Amino acid sequence: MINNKINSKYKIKGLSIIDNSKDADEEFFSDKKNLKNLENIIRESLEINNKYDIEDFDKIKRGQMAFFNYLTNERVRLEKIVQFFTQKIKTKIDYSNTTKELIALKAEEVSELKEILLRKITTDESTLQQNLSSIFNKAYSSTKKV
Amino acid sequence: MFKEIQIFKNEITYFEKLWIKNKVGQSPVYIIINPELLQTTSLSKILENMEISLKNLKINPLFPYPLYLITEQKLKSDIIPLANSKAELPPYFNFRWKVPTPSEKTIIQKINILKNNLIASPIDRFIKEIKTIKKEQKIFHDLLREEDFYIDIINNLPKK
Repeated sequence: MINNKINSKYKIKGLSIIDNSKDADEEFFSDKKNLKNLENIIRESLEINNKYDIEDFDKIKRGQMAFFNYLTNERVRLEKIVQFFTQKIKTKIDYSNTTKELIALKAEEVSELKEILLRKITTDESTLQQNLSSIFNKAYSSTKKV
Repeated sequence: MFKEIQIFKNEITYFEKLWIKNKVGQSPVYIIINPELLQTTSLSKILENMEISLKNLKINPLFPYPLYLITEQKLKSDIIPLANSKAELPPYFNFRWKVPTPSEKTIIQKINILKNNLIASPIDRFIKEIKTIKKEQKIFHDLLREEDFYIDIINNLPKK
């Protein structure tokens, strides 16, 4: 009964289950309208919804692309790690700017600078000595007002 | 795509078999210790045996994929990263695997090549070198700061 209702809705020419000849099938499947109607029959009989809501469609698309996106990010992450360990660290080890000799040279330069500074600061005419002497004199002067 | 591993014993050979079976280092993994085991042995001893087993198999617990140990106890470990609960695990690896399309399969092949490249390289040696480089850089940086400080004072002294 249901099949009769569906068949009356969708007119399909040349559809016969009993006829198994290849020519009849070729004629049937070459006509696009017949194929479309067949598809609609199957969907109605199995109650498949042909239309998705916009939100569902977006979710499906996002879900399909999320895995691809994750894989590309993963590839980029691993490439960066491999480059770091195989190239960058190797060049840093082979051509480093902080070897022990360089650090010793720098330490010598810094100690020389410190000596120059101390010579300038510890003379009697330097501002540091003058400021310290004024503070000392103020604290221990004998002319205090009672 | 985190895998879960449960531990019931505290033996080095047992750990080594577990790591090989679950392909530790080739995919992200987290470990949960059975509470009955914790009643008999301490967590620090279990950690020690785990670190020894990882050294024997030359597996790095950070690269290319991490191995986390989930405990609520406060411990310090230089080798294995710890987490208090599953919620503290990095969400980057929380992903559902699905059947890949042909384009995704090509990317997965490239990822496998990079993974094997990393596993074959001596990462432990590089991490040691990084630590020595870090110390030397710190000493050099401190020396440079001291030099700048002295130069600033000398330049700001009154000129006679």
